[in-house]
Amino acid sequence: MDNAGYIGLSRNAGLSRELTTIANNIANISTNGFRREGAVFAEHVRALDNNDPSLSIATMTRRYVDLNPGEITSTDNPLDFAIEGEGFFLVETPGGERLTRDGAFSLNQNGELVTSSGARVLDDAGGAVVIPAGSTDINAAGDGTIFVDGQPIGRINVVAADPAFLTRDGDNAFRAENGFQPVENPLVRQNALEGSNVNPVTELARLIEVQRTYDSSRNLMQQEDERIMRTVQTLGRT
Amino acid sequence: MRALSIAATGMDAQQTRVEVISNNIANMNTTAFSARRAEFADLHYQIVRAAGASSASTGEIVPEGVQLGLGVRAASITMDMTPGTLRETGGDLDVAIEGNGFIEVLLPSGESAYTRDGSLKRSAEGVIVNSDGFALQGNITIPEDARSVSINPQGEVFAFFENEPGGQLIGTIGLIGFVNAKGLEPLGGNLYRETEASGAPLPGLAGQDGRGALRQGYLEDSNVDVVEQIAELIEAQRGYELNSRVITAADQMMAATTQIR
Repeated sequence: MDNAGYIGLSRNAGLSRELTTIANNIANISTNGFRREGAVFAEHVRALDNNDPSLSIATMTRRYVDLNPGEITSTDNPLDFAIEGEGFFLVETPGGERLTRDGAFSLNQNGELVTSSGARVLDDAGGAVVIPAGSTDINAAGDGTIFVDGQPIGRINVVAADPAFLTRDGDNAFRAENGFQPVENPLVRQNALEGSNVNPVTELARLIEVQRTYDSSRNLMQQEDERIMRTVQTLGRT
Repeated sequence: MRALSIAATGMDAQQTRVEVISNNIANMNTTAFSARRAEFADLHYQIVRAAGASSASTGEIVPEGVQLGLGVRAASITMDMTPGTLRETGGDLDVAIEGNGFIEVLLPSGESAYTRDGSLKRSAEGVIVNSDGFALQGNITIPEDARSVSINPQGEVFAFFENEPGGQLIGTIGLIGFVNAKGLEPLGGNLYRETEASGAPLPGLAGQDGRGALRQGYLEDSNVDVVEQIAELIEAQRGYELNSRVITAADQMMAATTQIR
């Protein structure tokens, strides 16, 4: 049984998945509100017969969403929002309610606040935030309440969910599999956008690590191949 | 090896960003130009191991699955609608809009287009036109013998004649509002066209219902902030390099795979 070969192969298959994760993180380095993704490997242990030591194979079992905040940059746009600290904006997509940290909002033809992919931003009553036509004076208080010409028109809902149950849905949105609850004291900043929380230095370091580990595991397989070949030659001579 | 195509979407996104930035910088002196900004969104995720499924080895519920992201795409290119600074020109047909609103012009096709570029001109027939020669909505004609023209903040155009103390009202430049001005479709030539996203045009008078007042003798500068654009350009360039580094790594790993015996 060529166990060493199988272990090397499983390692390489996992590494190429990890490379996919790194590539996705780097590709989203300028995506607003993007959360970095990490991969976790676990060993899959298999007991062998005849009291041999058990065999462990590396498998990629889970990924985690890195919820550290990204950098907040200020913009001139009154419809750009960023959440400082915990929480997500609640938006309504055709597939249901989703969570996002991307606060680059704009208006649709009905004057409703929408995300860059057209999903409506929900207020704390569960409805859309409607900005009256022709409004120029749009201000947001720290708790997310929007004032138009000094009159409050609604509060942007900021919710939190268990990171373990956040599933990525594309378009900068997450699906909360286990429900969400409103954040007690949210801090919403207007005229600001949160960037991606991908750190290029860390990603590049992981990239190099993956590459080198891949090489070393290939070397292992090659040496194993040579060992078997030598065994066959040695045994074949006698 | 999906990393190759994922990194390619990343390079593509950064390239789009550079294209948007270069268009902004190229238009840094275009009258009433609105800077654009590219927004990105992550692509779909491939579910390798679903969360909530039961694990084959132990039968326990998998708390977090394995989802592999497939890259990035440009979600939208939004316009920065903040007004640019006003520049004094002294031209009697130069008008700047102080606030929201668009001037409506008629294209030769009969369609309406909207612009914030108020560098108006007079045609051979005396009609007020924009720089491309398209007449303003309302066909305001300046009489041949008029000595001077004055436009007040409400958009009313007065012609003054020799030996006449008061001016004569010859027309009104109305301003058009949009619920979502960012949804307008740019046509080039500083013109925009209404779309389903922008909503229907809402005609009105300058200085009313949130529309800006007109100011004669001024033009609105482009709102491109060059320093900000250069900083973004540097970021985009480095982002591009990082993605190309991933391609190199993926390539080397694939080369290593072909050598496995």
